[in-house]
Amino acid sequence: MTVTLRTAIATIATALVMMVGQPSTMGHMATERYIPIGRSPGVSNKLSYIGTIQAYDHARRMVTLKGAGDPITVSITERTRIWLDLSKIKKANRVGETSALQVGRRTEVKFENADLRKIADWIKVEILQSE
Amino acid sequence: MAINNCHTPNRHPIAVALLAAFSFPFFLLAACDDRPAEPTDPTDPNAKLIAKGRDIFFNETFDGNGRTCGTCHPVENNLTIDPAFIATLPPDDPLFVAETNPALARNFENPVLMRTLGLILENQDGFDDLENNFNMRGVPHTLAMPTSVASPQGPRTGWSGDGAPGDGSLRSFAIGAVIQHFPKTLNRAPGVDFRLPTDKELDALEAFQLSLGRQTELSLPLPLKGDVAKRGQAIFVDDTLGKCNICHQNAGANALLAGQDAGNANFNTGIENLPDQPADLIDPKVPPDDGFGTPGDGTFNTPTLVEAADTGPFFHNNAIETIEGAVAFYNGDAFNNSPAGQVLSGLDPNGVGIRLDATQVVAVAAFLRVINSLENIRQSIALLEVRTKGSLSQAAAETEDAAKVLSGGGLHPRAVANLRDARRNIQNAGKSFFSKTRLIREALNSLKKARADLIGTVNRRRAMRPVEIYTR
Repeated sequence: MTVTLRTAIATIATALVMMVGQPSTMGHMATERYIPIGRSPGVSNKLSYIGTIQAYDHARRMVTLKGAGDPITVSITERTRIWLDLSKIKKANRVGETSALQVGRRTEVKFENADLRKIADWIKVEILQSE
Repeated sequence: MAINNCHTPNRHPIAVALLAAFSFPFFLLAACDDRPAEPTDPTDPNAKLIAKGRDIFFNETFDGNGRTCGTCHPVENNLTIDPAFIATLPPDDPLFVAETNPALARNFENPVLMRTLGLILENQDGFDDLENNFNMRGVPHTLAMPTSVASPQGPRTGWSGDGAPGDGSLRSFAIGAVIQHFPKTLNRAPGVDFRLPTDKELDALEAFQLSLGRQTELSLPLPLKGDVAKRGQAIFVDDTLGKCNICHQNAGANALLAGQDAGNANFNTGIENLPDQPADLIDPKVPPDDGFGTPGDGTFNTPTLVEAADTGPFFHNNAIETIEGAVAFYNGDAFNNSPAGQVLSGLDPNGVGIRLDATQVVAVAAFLRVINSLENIRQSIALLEVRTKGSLSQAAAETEDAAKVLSGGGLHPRAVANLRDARRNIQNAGKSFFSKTRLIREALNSLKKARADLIGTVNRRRAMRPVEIYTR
């Protein structure tokens, strides 16, 4: 079988495209944790929603927030990162659990897909008292 | 940005003498102000923002441990650091905070690897196990960023392309850098251990970084004059031999795949599988670097090559010291057994990934040395023509870099001689009052002679192509 140079290069290139095909660029998650609610550059109030927790359904892992505009309900998956924002009490932000999703706490949710606004990529929960 | 307008129009000799007498103290101050600077075209509408960004980049500590962006990206060393540069720094330089601040003595840096290999500690995969979960990476320069950040998947920053928090953009990068590199303690509490940059500061920092270095891509092939570099260029652009141009289109950071612009792509080229990485030889406890994402997928971001030859060591882990070694890497098992190498070899009629002879490796490296030198010369000329504060010392440094890059490969000795003449004239211009304009003019002539030794004139029909950044 004769393989022309053009075909070979096109095939190589296609394979390389497949090889480099990756999820869309994500923000650096390690440092994101330390950014207080509302300060994430290019994300806060654009790709995220800031509000107060109205309800958390443990069984369905769904949290409902009310901020500016209509309330929203988002799903929490195994991939969702939860961080405790302790910046108001001058402490280092920490990794949190779903137990931190308590009614009345100020929270920022970044969506996995900002158009669908259904699944939480990460959640920051503001903590105002030392625990 | 203030401009030192050093032109001396025709004046009466007595007036010149009086002017000299009155201005002598100020002239002394100006001559002593040798702080390096990047040229900013005063007609650029972003000039004020860029100047503000420059000030923040080199002076703002964000209430942290004393470091600035310029600590690891010093303009006098091509906006990167290497062991030779690090060796010139005083013991109290903020780069060495892990040696001087007890709160940062453990798990913030590895001073041995910093001093011997220029490596910086990064916690790409999180801050919860500082003892074991870290990467040691070199410091990439911040030149030519308008050409090297965008990809169809979004912006790519840092060695693995995921260096910035937030939206992952260059604008957001500074926030991640402050959290990683600027804290007073490992608590990393915002408002205590550092303050985060404001939106206005992020805007200025982004504008400044985008202003640095080359603003456009080259358009290969260039009309190079040296036979070895010319052959190196031919190998570089040959998609069946060097195959370099597939991922480093026009010696930049972007890939062109199946006719599609893949932008600043990530690849797993097997660098982590090199058998004798210097960092591992010095400190076997350094964990492997898994690249993009958490957990990582083993890929790393593609750097520009035009600026490579004078910004080594090479690759994300500073594994290879010389540009020849960096090219030779692609001949080895680490690359050819890697995912990227396997794709190339699987589709090659002879099952070859990349296989170059020693002379071909040296030829490709010679090509990279020549285009790096051309970029140095372009910057030197721009610095001498714009002449902003500190631009003479920066032009001298760029000119010296051009000479070193060429002489390091045994290339273009006549151009090297012209470059050394140019550097001497630039340095003398910095000390001279009455002869400054003449010396700068002579330096410009020498730079243009050196350039003419490296590259030919351009076909007029192609006069608008970006290659003219080196030939006009």
